[in-house]
Amino acid sequence: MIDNEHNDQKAALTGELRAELSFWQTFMSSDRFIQNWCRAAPNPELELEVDFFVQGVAREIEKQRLKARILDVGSGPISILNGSFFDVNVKLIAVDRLADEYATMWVHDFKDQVCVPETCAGEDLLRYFGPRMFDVTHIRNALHQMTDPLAVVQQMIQVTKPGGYIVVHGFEDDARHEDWKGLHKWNVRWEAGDLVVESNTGDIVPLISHFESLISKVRLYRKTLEGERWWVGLIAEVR
Amino acid sequence: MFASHFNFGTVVRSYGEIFNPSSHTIGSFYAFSIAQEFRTLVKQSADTTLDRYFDELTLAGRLPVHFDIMYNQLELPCLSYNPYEFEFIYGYMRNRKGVVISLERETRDSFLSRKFLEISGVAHRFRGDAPLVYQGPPLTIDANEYRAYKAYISRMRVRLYEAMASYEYFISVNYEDVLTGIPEHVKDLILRNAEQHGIAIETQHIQMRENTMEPMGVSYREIFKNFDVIERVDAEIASR
Repeated sequence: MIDNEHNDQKAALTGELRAELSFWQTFMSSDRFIQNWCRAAPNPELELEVDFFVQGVAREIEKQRLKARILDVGSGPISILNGSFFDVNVKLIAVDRLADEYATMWVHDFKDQVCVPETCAGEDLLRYFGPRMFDVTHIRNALHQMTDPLAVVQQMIQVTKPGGYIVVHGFEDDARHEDWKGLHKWNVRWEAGDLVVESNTGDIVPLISHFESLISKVRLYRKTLEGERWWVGLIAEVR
Repeated sequence: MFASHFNFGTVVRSYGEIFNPSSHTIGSFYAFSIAQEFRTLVKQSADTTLDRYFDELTLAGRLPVHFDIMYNQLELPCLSYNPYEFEFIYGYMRNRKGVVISLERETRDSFLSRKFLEISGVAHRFRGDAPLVYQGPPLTIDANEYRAYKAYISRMRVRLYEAMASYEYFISVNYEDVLTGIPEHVKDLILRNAEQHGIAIETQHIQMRENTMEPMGVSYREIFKNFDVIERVDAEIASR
């Protein structure tokens, strides 16, 4: 059912998806993309505390002579975690529903050396990977663009091992900031000790409360990132 | 800057930018965190983690320690729940009654200095150093980048001042005023704070000789070919 909804949405949003692809196409030819996203280790655009956290988890697993499995959901053409594990051995996988389109947009010859996404929507994670596959499942500034953000978070939890972590972060109230245009269909914000998802009709779901039986909060934060905008994040352990 | 000032003295040991994640030296928060069981750090209170870190750093010693932290690192020391209303490190410092010194610089100067550092690798200049001569191609300033930087710094200062409101051990100092040394009123604050913690120190031992740090002495007008962008953005923001 989710898949059908996703396909319907994809068809309905053709213009919006085209705008998203156009943004990335321009960005992928910039020096900033090459330097920060493809070469730097770690990507300086990734929030330090998230980089520190995912590296910490990966190192802990490496101490047990195992390799952490990290999933980046809604990654865009390259995972922002691409440069995070330069000195620790992990299996990093990225997924994005537009991965096929991104693949045709790459013009750089080092595409095979970086973490590019496989084609999978956030709502399809469980079917694509199966349950309990990852030590950390991460989504950065993409939840507000998903067709069904609650389904995405639920599936992020389900594909994460018990004792593993989900990391959800991004701009607060991004849809409102973008005037609900393009793919900006949901607001995510810090509210009363929870990270809430709000629809354009004003319906609100607090993530921690909603998934209380499946996750326990590790960190919830709100900080200034750029100009006057807030950045919000949730790190939770999967039960 | 304060790190080298303090290290010219005998009573405050500076460990520099300990929360910089690219600093992996002994004593860095990074080194501490990988020596621990990460899962424990994530589960215990962030205050406890930082107390343990500082205990290890000072060998539970009784001398004051100093560290630098940048605005973008404020949340990094918090690996679990932040119990404070503001950024974790602000709450922690207030709660543990540490001295907080805000080193402030004209945003224009700090932006240009940072851009110059990116291409020159030179962060500081000291008395007697050969004059800096930039021989590369002319550089350009991105107006949006400068605008965003100004807004960010402005917002972060507001946050800092809100977090430190009515806190007796908070002080702000101007970058140009502290190039060669720690002002007496800052030393007095450190002294009062040490006394409050039951530590006896003498102000003359906080910095025992002058630092020889000097302004960079480069002309940003010559280095950045569109320097007028800076003036235009400053004027635009001032007129709001």
